[in-house]
Amino acid sequence: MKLGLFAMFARLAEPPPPQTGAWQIRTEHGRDGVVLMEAGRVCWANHDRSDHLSDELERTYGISHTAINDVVRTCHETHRPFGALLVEQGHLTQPQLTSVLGEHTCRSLVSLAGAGVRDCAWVPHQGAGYAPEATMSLTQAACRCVALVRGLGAEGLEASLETMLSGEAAGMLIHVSSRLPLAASVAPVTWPQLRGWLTWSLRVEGLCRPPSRGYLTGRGHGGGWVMWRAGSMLGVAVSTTDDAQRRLLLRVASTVADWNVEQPA
Amino acid sequence: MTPAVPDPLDLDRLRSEIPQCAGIAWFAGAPGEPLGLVAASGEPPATEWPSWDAVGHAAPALLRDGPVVSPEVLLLWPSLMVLLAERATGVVVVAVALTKAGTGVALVHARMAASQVAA
Repeated sequence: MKLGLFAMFARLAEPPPPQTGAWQIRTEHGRDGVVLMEAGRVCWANHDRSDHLSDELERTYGISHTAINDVVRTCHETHRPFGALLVEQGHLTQPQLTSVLGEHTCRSLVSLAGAGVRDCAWVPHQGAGYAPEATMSLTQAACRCVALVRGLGAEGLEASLETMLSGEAAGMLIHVSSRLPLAASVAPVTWPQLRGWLTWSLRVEGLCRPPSRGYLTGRGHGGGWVMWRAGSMLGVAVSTTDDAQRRLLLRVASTVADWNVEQPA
Repeated sequence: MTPAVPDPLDLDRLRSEIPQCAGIAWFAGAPGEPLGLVAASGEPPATEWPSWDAVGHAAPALLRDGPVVSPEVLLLWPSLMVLLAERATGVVVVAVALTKAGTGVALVHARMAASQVAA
């Protein structure tokens, strides 16, 4: 059976411990994709049919193929990481490197899903790991892929979400009309949490439809949650301590009226 | 023992005593069961207010099914604060109009009213 984007992520979410290794992805066209994971986080994905990273570097940052080939040659000679050399030689800043690696990974994941994933086989890393330049959680990757498909800026959506979460609460952004998650927090959100919070949030939204710039909040033993809405975007945040919940609520209450988030068309 | 049902007149009295209280209602139903509206006094006029029934339908999802089980839930709408508080035999819901005094004052008033219903 062919897996869609979400079914593919559900499969990728369960690598065996210690969760460092490669998913070899077989699509309808054969074994032609790979997703590398470091301690359960996505660090790289590639698909034969997706753009090459070098093309993206040239298109986005104007780095010529000649310059890229020079960096690759230096990599081979010095055994230094490609990304680190790009930064060291001034071709990119570290945030730009993180951005382009994430973008390439998500484009590859979307391309894999589009090609029709048939099977995912796990190959554990035989050494200490990949020492990646950048990683993202599986749920961040999934949401970035959805944003990419919808033509939205994933980094901007994540930045809007973190305005509320400030790195200390887990959460996500949901587009109400399409019922799709568009951003996941820096604080880890597991795949089951993402699915559970998405289902619950949409259920609550359907039952009591919070108005734009309104919010709901609940507090329990050790933490709580806040849900807020701006236009067609719904934010959900979950904290795990009383102090974090107090700060979260204060941020949402003081920010929601002017909170800026890209609205899908 | 049959749980005490708040007298509608008591809810009327309570609503009149709490500043800016736009409505107060009592829903009965044990955890895991649907909630039914038992008694209510007033109904918020705010345009964003759905209805007591809608709030009652949403209450179990809000209180019990969220990422963190929450015996108290607040809904903050531009002109209205709604407090839902779980009790052993049901849920009390208090709606307080927001004023320039802010949400802190509204929350104090809502909690004050809720504490007097089936606590």
